[in-house]
Amino acid sequence: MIASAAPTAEQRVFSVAELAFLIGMPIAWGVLLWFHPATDPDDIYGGLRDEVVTYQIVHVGTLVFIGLIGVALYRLVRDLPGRAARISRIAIPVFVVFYGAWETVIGLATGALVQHANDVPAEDRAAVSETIQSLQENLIVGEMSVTAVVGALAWLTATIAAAVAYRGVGAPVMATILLGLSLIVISHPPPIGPVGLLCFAGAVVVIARWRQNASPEYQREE
Amino acid sequence: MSTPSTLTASDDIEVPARRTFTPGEVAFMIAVPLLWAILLLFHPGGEADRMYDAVRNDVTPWLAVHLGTMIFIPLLAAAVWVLLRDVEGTAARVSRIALVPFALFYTIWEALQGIATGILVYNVNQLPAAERATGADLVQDFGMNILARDLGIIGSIGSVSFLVAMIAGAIAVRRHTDAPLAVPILLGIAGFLITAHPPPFGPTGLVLFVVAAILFVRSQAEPRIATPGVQPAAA
Repeated sequence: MIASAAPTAEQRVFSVAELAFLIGMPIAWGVLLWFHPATDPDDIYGGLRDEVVTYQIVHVGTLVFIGLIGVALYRLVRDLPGRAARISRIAIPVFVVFYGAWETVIGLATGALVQHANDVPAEDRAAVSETIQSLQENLIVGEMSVTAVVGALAWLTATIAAAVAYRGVGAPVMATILLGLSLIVISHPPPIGPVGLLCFAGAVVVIARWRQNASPEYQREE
Repeated sequence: MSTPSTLTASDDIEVPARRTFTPGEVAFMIAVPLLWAILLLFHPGGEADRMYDAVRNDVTPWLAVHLGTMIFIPLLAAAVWVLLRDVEGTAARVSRIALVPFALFYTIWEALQGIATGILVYNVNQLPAAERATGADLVQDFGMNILARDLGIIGSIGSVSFLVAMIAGAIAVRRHTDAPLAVPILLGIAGFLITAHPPPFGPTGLVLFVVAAILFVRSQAEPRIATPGVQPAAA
């Protein structure tokens, strides 16, 4: 294993509040995602009609957490030098916008439509169910759509580039591995999403300890 | 990266810092709102209480305008951020912070009200004629959803964030730079108009933002009239 180096003066120690946010936020999101109802891709309405409120709560929360995880990753890489860190910083807003937009349609719009289908007379439900199903298969914002792919690739790029950037400044290998593994958050339903978020929180702990154990010269500069 | 050129007064007269912009930054601040304004001119209109009827024959332009808008929302946030980047003070900080919820929530609202509605209308168009009334009800109910509708939760957070960003930005420009009074006024008006994005409001607001940006850039490039006792600080 390659030995880790001490952080430079630019890579400051996280404040307590910052650390609470960087660790607590992904854990809170992970807990929320445990309640994500399982869906049958071939029968979205059938799978969600009895769990639509839970589905909506999870996706409204997820929408907020997408923005927050973008902020968290940005705070991790904002003071890192080099091309990888720069790539990560550029990919973060792309992830937030595209993954957020995809999540909006697949999560919030689908939830609202399922709620509507529950309220219409039984004879109209087939037509509404068909429309809900078509939305999932849409090329622009559906389950496997342009928006989803761009958002997912942006997150993969942001996390891998962040992992490379941390390795480049001599952070422990474990930080690089955990940060890299957090790319699986892109598949957010449990168990994958919560595990990925736990990896993110773990990476923050390792990075924070590495930054804390800075050289005496660095401590004096602080 | 540009940095503000600072002047200090030897007799404690406070002289506002000046910004310098690269040609690329100026082009970005002008091109983004102008291109978005042109796109918004093609925004289909119609009755909010008959959404399916309003969109069913214009699904393609509806989707094209709203997909483009989804890209232009974060780009406009970036343009405002570039305009205010080195401006100091609490108002400028508030403005920069408010740009984040604007970019997130207004984009999300746009995805719901614009893209999801457009796709639903497209899907309802594919249904047998006998089922289309049910589909039209679905579109209307979705469009009036508390999350998705105009002045719904998500749209309101996005719009208020943008208003905060623009008004705080206007205050910051007024207090901490020597830009002409027209700049903060135009920024404030643009904020109100852009949040109501269909024409004529959205395009007008975006053009006002461009005018404000040009006036601000020009004011920062103009040489200062020499004032007794005021000297440029050493770099």
